[in-house]
Amino acid sequence: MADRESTFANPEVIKLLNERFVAVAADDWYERRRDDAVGKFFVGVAIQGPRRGEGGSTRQGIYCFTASGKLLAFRNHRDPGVMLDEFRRALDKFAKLPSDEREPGAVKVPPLDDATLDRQFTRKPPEGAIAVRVFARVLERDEHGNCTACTAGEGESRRGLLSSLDHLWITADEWRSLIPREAKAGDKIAIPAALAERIARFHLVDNTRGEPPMWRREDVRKNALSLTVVEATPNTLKLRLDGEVLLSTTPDVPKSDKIAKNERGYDARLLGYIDIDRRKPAVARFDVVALGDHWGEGTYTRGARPGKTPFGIAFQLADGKHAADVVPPQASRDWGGYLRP
Amino acid sequence: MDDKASRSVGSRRRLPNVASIPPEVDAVGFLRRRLCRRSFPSPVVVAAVLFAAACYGPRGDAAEPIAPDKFAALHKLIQPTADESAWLSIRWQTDLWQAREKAATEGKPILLWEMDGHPLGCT
Repeated sequence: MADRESTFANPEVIKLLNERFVAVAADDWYERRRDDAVGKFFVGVAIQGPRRGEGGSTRQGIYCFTASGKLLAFRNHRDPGVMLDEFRRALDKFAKLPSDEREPGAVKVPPLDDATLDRQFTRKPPEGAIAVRVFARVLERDEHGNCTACTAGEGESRRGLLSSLDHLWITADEWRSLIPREAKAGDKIAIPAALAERIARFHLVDNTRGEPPMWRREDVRKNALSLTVVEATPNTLKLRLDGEVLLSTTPDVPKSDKIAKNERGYDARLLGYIDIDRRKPAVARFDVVALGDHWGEGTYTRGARPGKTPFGIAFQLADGKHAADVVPPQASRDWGGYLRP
Repeated sequence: MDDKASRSVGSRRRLPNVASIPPEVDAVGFLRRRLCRRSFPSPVVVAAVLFAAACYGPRGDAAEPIAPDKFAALHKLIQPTADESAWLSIRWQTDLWQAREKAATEGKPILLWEMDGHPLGCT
């Protein structure tokens, strides 16, 4: 998250990367574990630098290298100026390589056979699944009690104040089950239990300060989601989602000023609008908001505000226009558990 | 967003109107009377119960519904601003092998942003 607002938000960096590099982003948790051609290629690059991965340790950082796998630079720094210098040095090194290492078409990359990929450490959405962007933001209330975005003072870090991003995958069977053969306004439609639990346990999380802990099954104290038909025509089905969710690591909900260390929770209401194009059929809109009070923090999300504080989550159908739209859900590292929570 | 919905999120569910509670059932008086009775549990038990009540109230502070007329503003508020989305203007690839093929074809070096948790998601 920090690199998003420092190095990769810098206009010079953006211009340089778009013009002179092929930029790629990857999750080290998968890449360093993959036992296939991709994993071996990556490790071959990484071990030329300081991230040797002893004992399976992290290899995270920012690497510059050639298509043949020759490392040009490695750095893991948040200062855009430092990183710009590193990128320029990498370009200088690249320019000095023999032509068979850098000319267009000079390096021959062998085709990759999908069947040889390490399925344990690669994620692709199931056939026909849809992806939904999931944003989250810590909020505050103004003097009238209205929710607003939190802002940093001059010179203060914006860590934890920016909108975060993850993705929800909904399988074809799940979204198709939302389309009844016959429907009229006022009808209730059942939400698949696995989808309701996936949303609650893996997507109503505070990931604004880092990799979040997911909710355990027993943390779901209440998860009441309902779908109502608002409008039904031969072409369109408009649904409204209402929900009330209580997630808490303790059976009893603590009061705001009595939250013990390691206690976490989120007490929220949901409202959303889901439109179905019945002709295709396809989900045309998936706009949902969760809003309520969150409390506590996880191992990698330290720095939460004390007590219960307003926290919002927004869901939006991914239209495929962002490169990030294909990124798997964070919780899908446990693939089976994600699809059937 | 001067809205009832977001105001309501911050508010707490109302307790019973105090004026409607007879004075003889007020907590202090109740305890004083109970403590004077031999059958009352030990003060330690009382203290524990009061402490628990202070720490874990009933779910009387639950979130309240989001008003439909405020939905669009909330949905937008939570999403990233243009300023927060600058990093998405980089033409990111998400497949290392495809990035390798593209770099070879175009004669460019690869920049790999590798994090524990996908840099384009997760947080």
